[in-house]
Amino acid sequence: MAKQSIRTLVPLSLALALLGAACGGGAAPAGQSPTGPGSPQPTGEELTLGVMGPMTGDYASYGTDWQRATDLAVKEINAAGGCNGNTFRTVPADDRADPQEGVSAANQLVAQGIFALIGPIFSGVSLPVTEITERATVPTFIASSNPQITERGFRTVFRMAFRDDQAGPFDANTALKIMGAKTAVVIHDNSAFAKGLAEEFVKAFEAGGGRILSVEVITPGERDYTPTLTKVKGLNPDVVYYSGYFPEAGLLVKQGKELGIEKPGPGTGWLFGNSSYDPTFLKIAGDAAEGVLMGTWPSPETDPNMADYLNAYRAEYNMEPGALGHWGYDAVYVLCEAIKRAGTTDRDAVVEALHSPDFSYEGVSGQIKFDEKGDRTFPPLDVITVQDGKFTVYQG
Amino acid sequence: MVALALAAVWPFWIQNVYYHTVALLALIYVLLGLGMNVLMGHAGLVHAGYAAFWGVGAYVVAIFSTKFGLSFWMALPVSVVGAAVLAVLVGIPAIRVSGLYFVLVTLGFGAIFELAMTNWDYVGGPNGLYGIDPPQLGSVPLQTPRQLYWLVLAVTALSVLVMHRVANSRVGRAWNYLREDEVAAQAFGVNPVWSKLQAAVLGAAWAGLAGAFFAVRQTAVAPSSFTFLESFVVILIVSLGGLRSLPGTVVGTVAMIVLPELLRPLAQYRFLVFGAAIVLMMLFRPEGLWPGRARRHEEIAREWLGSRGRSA
Amino acid sequence: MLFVQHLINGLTIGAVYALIAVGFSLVWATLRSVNFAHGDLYMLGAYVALGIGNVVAASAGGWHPALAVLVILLAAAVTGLIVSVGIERAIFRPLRRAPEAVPILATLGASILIQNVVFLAFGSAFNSFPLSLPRGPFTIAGARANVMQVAMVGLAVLVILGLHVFLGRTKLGTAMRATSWDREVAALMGVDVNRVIQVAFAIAGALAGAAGAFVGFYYGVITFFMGFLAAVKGFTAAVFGGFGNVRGALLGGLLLGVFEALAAGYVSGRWKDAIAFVVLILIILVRPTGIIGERLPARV
Repeated sequence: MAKQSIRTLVPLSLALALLGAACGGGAAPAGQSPTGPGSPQPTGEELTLGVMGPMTGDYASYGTDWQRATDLAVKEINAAGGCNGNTFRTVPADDRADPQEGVSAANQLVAQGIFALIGPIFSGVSLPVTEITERATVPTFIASSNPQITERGFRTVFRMAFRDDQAGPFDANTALKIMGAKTAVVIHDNSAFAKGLAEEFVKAFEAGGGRILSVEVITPGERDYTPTLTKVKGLNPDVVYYSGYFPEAGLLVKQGKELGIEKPGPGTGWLFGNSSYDPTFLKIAGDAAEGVLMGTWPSPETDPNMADYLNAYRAEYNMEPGALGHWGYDAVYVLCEAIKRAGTTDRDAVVEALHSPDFSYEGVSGQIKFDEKGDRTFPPLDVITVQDGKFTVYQG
Repeated sequence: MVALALAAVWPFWIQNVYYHTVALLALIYVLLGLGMNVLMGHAGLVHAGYAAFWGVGAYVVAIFSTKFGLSFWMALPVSVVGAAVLAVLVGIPAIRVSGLYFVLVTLGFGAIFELAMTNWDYVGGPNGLYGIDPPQLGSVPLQTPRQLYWLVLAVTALSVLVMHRVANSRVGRAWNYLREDEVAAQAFGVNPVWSKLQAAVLGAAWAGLAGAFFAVRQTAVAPSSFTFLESFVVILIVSLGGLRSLPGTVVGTVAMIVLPELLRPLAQYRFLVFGAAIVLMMLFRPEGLWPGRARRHEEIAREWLGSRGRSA
Repeated sequence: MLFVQHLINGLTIGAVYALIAVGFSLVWATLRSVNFAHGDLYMLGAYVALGIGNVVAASAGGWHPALAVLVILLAAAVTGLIVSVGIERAIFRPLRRAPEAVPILATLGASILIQNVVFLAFGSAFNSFPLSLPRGPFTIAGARANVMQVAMVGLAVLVILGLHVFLGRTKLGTAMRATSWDREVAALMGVDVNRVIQVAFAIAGALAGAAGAFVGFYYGVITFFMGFLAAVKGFTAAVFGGFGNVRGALLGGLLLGVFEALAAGYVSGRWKDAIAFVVLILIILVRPTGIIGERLPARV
């Protein structure tokens, strides 16, 4: 018996050693020695920025757009002489929108001694990843909207996006005031983001005297949402609010029109959250998109800064910018501004500069200031609509 | 032994936290593989809802920590027992159907678990639970990946010993006989339902154990970590490594968990290479990279009869 | 009125499920195995539709809509057929004697591979179908439907029932049933088992490709990962109807579609998928042969 267990254990131990060796030895980009928290770096240096998002997998379109937008900002800044003479370099990190992958990738980036992290995008990934970057004092600029991420007393987390509890009430107000709705059906896709936004909408809509007839859930990736829409038609609400992403939003409004869900008045009965604001929405929905309302960031039609960004992106990559990239683009500039204000690349000082009440930067997504939690103080939101197949600011 | 010692000491020399994190994740999958090896390797049960057991383990630790502030060590036994109890509840109906139908029933069960967690607001719905406290050893919180790595390494070493003993016990021999020849095994006194249920409970208990450590590694749990694709990752680990082979489980983990990490520099090409690697490994080593010893039918039968005689 | 609308909705999506389910059933019948990359054939069909749609959109005069639909469906079917047969030759044939889990897991790898090839070739963006084909809407019993839907459901029913009749009457069908019953005995009796299996994969791939093309131009959203969910649904439908049975796959697909539509309409979309899985488990436990289907040998 003893002999036999040794026979089994020897190859097993060898295998375990192999595991150790594989982890310890082989892994690629030669890890620089980890940098301690807030360790000062001399000016005139090349600062490494981690760029995290889903670069592969179902949500790859968000991550690759995010990376292109940050690379664009880095290229522009470096060409203009950097920030106090410091230049940037980006290292992409794929999280596949999966918390588990995000934790691994974040540890790798921190071990490489990144100066700051641009990302993650998805709330589920941001929650554990910010725990790691907070411990290492790495300023982290997220595009996630889950309110709880900035409610944990972290100093290094900065949210480029809205909070759900900012966007939800804004959209509820649009439904109540602009669309004059008394009743609503809310649809979401059971993702952390869309569900959170839907819940905030429900709260604010009911607080404002409206009545929620039903909260419906669809499965993203399916193509046919007529069963849910038929139910919605039967309920006959004043407004249908969808809080999820643009591909499903486009299908919903298109199939809704075919089923005869359409109301006179602003929005034609449809209101969408900010993740529907994407050119692909227009292509998928076609004519059905005409007149719908959306609550979202300033549109390129009204904000010259945004138009400049979109044009620069098109010129650089010869493709249409995605839905979130402008926040990553702004994050790099915000970081640069903070380095200039701090006058040093000491990370503690840079974090302090970002939290300072004097800090302000005019980005492509509007004015950027952070409160003590790391949320933006003036989240810029607009109501936009679709006219002649184009997004345009809604004028009531 | 030497290699085990090596596995224990390399983190002293290599300080890079990233390697510790990956090694820790790999060890957790080794634990999962050990459990799946009991189910699939020994009892022949391809359990496609395996991730649910692992999810139970993780959610128990998360609920204990974030809702009640109770320690990891109080949650750990509940994780293991909770997963085992669920295995019984699923196993009683599922074990009666064979082959592909068992895969389908367990697949459906795994999907229902994921949907239930997504729709259950108490555990945070799609957000899950976060801010899980690290386990304490005395008054020291085991917080860094390296500390957790050592803890899980000790648990894994212990698990390997336990699994080795179980495989050679009366229970283990009954599984082997049953898998090889169900009719003959029944004739010689193996109760198939009872025997397979034992395997399901043991396999699930290890998944619960792994889930508990997974929760403290992540500090957050969410339904997206327990999809049925995760079950297939574990099935691939034991199949790629080789069934009924403890070193095979480790090799399989290296292939499935460490390889994608090594491929990170390939960026967008990472999963292209990974998919191709799975196909090639399956084509050229269908029996696994480090398979268990091939044994003859008579040998397995004799072993079972021997252990039966001994206990009588 | 709403009920009729739910029926129409369910039958449309059910027709797609049925076309995918038939493939799973045929492969199961001849090989007692599952091709995990089956959903990716459907995805490839959608990309073929996208490619041809782009060509049509760019051509000056434009094509007659019926011609465009026909060319798209045929091209997608051929693509699905070729890739499906390729998977059989590259994976299933060399692994014919390996443990049953091995080829199945290898196709899981193939699925990851195909998805990432498409991802790298066409990018990660959500593609929208470039043409707007006329749908011919009409009203029936107060519910809305269109000619495209009728064509799709009709085509699926005709093709699958035709296949059923074909397999019942021809020598190839007999060979397929013999192979399904016992592969070794069939081979001894002079059936070219490899050819039978290849035909099964060819039909499976063609139908999946055509279904993908239809979804591509009817719903208009095409992504590289769309095959996964479709495969899950098609697989469920195949089990609903009774695995390894062509007629059962048709019935299972249409029933699953209607069932989902009613669950989403009268219960909640939140629990729709969970309800589908509970019913699936109950069917397996109570009536493992599906709604119609012969009892399979105990050892699988």
